[in-house]
Amino acid sequence: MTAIHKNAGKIASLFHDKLGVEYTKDVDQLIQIGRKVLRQKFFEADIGVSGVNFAVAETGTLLLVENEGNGRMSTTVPPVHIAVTGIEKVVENLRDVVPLLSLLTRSALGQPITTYVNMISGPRKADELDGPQEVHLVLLDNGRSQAFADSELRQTLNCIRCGACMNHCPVYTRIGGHAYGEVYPGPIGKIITPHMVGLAKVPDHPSASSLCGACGEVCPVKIPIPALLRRLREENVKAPDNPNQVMRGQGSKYSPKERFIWNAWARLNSSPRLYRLFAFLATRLRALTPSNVGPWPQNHSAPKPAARSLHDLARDHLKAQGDRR
Amino acid sequence: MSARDNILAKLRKSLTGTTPVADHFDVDLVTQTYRYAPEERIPQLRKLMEAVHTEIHLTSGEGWTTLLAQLLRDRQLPSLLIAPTTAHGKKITQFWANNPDLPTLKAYNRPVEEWKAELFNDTPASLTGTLGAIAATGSLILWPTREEPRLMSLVPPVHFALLKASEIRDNFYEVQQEFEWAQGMPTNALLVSGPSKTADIEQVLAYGAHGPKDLVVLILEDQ
Repeated sequence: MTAIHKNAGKIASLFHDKLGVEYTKDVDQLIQIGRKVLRQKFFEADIGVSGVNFAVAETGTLLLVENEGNGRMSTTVPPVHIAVTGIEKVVENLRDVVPLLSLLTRSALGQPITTYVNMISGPRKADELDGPQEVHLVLLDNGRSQAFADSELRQTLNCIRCGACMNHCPVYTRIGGHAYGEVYPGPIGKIITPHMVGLAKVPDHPSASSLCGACGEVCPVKIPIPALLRRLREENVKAPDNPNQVMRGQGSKYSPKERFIWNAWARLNSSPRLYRLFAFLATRLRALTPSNVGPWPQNHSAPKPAARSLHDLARDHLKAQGDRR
Repeated sequence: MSARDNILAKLRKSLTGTTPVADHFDVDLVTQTYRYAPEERIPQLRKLMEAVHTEIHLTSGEGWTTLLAQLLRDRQLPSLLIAPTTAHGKKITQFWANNPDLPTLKAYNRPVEEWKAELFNDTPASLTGTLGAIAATGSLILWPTREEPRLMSLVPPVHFALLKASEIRDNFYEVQQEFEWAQGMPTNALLVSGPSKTADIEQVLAYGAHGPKDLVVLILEDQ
């Protein structure tokens, strides 16, 4: 994802302040400043750290995609390369990366392929003249095995990190990545972060969505993100004594009061007798409805039941048509 | 129990009682729409690579050295990094011997540690061979070797790549099969589809981010 929280002007000021270069908003010039400064960093670095897009079990290959070349620089110039990746990036066979790579670059950027596809299968050999002398791979669980344990939540791990869900998210495109306060922003962040840091730490993540469905629609690996968000909302309000513990921090939004109200609501709507009694009382006693109902009437008129219920009106309507049942 | 055992035990436990999903890899899906008639391969590759600012020249096994010398002169490049022991490296050395006043030739013939500063600061261009190309995505296949190490196609700002027309393949799957990559990968293999680029600032596309600013491909039509 690009740095959508900064525009060229902000980057120009940042470069001017921190690097002492002349202020320019010209994107090409800004990129050239970045190139010059970072080349020196690549040149001097003792260790290069990278992520991984796909790790191939069959051949022991780390596959990295990028357009810029900083990935190749970091993994090739310093004497030590440390790759850090989640366990879900491991694919079985080399051929598996063919469709995945195609989906990744097309969904991320609309490109048939990125400028560089870098496949690393080991450190420099004795007779080679460059490349890192050591390559280390750190495989992270960090909540992934927890997601894996539940057949519905497991789908979270299908993610190939293309960012299509973010590009299409009406929330993300307006608030940017930093608003989420964690490493992974956007729709995918909202379903993966709760596994990483515990739902109690990010209880609002599953709710920060209009459930418009765009993310699920564009996901190239068909992760049902809206369904998973709803599932996490359920996990969020599970009673603490619920024996079915599927994730760390679940139930942090549980409120006995809210649970009581919803239980009463459910009973009212599933019992015709109770419902009729409620409708009778609500319409007859409408004059007694309080006008002060919390912050609601600050911007709206207080809700007041109608004089007659819809059922009542419908009955009259049918009677008038002579359609007695 | 190590972290590794712990993770694996958790994953295995989650799979208890389940059946592994059969591998339904669909070869047609990744090849069918990415097949080209022999005469279509160069135009297809060219279309995609030029779309991302690659400079492409059609030349011949005989004429490419002359063209290379001309391109270097046009760009006023003072030197060129080559692999003198390769077939194409020998050809360049020979042509240079017969034509005075051409840019200096440099060889990548020692470990990078011995000349890192010169490689970064005083090596404006390089020429490497390729293992072929992929028409479907407009990509060169680079398989760095002892003769043509990894940084040769990355650090110099201008990268010339030599491509034999007969070695342009249809798609990535076919390349993996043909070269039997699953049986053994080199320490580093690359697909390169243009000069370095970025759209990090306001999604404005800019070329020459961290890798080569220019990628010049010489396609040998008769080879």
